[in-house]
Amino acid sequence: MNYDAIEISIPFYEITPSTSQVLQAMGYPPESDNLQLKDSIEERINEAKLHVSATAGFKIIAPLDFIISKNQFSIAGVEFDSKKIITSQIRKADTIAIFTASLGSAFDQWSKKVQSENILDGYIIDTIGSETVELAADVIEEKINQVVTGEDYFCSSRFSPGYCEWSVAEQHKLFSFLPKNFCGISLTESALMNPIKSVSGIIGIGLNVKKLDYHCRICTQENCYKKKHLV
Amino acid sequence: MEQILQKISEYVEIGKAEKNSPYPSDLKGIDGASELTLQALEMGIKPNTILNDALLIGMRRIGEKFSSGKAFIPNLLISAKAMNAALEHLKPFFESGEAVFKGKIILGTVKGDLHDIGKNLVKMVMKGEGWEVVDIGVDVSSEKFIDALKSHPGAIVGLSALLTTTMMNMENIVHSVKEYDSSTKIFVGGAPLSRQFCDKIGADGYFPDPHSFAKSFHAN
Repeated sequence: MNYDAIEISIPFYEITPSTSQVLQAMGYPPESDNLQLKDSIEERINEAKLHVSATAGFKIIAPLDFIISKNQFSIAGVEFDSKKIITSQIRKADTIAIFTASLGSAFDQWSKKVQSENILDGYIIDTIGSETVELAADVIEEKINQVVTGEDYFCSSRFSPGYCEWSVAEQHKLFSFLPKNFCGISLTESALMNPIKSVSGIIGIGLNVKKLDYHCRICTQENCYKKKHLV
Repeated sequence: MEQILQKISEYVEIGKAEKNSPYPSDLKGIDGASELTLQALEMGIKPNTILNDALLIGMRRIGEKFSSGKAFIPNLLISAKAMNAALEHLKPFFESGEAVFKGKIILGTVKGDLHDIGKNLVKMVMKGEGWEVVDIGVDVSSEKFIDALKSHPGAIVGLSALLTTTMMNMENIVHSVKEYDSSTKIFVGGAPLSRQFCDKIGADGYFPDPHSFAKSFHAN
């Protein structure tokens, strides 16, 4: 297995969200026929291709550096208090991959500009951004899957700091294992990723790892993105 | 008179802002909330009557639909846009004191946090509900909130945060603002927050969405 950090560009056409996907992310039912919104969303998705410059990447940790226990894991001696929901899902992992994905700073600038002029369009663009960056994370998750499957390993679901009761502050430790400015992402003191439309996280890898459903029903996070998609 | 007020409220509810508004498509070319408000003023209807018996009624109706899951954030924003188009004509009356804002709110995303979408949604909905909004931006320190209170005494304060790390900064801001003026009401909102957290940091209220926040003032 290759333990170097790998970074790729993803063309927008590979991660373009559908209009109904954006509508559903806003809370509308799948059968919704809101013409005004549909037109606006379509228009903004078309414009988004000019502002999205998506990159994603991952780094597989050498198994010798990875240790997992009941409520935490460690990489090269650095402990992560990832909590029980996550460790129970990667309990049988031999190692993990750290991944990131980002839409780039031009998208943030466009989103901010539109928001200052028209909050409805700003909200639409923000939602398009959230959906697009998750699709970029899907692409990198699939790439990791392909890499480990070739070695007869399996992958868990992906988990991010700030979700499943794992503190977002631990993002600093996670990023310390990636090259500086990986995928163009930097962290603020408060662990906010810049560009804002970025995601990061881990995926468990192992001979006996299984991809299980997220344990949303036992998680205390009320307004979670994953929980919202589960309803 | 009742007919035009009813029409204005209906158009605010469905978001028919102006004659030129392309949506709803079946009302294309028909006067919207903006033109009808102007006509109501010309008919001699008092600005406060237009505000309370038409514009706010429309906003409340869409708000109720939002509460019952029949409308969503974009619907609130579309209605608020129509409301704001109509409010433009009432501006001179607010300035002269003939019409009055429901209150003044200072809004900001707390120190360390750069997310502004939640704050901006609250801003739009509160403006649509007849509030005067002072937006002091993102990454806002205690000092900046206090400076804004000095410029706008008596205003209430709304704090927004989207991260579990930055919501911790709310506690310092709440303490500093309360220390400056203990009578200032402070409200908090944002994805990782909860009522328990609000109580713990000594804020006066937590609301999960802009409508429930606006609605909490309806009885006043």
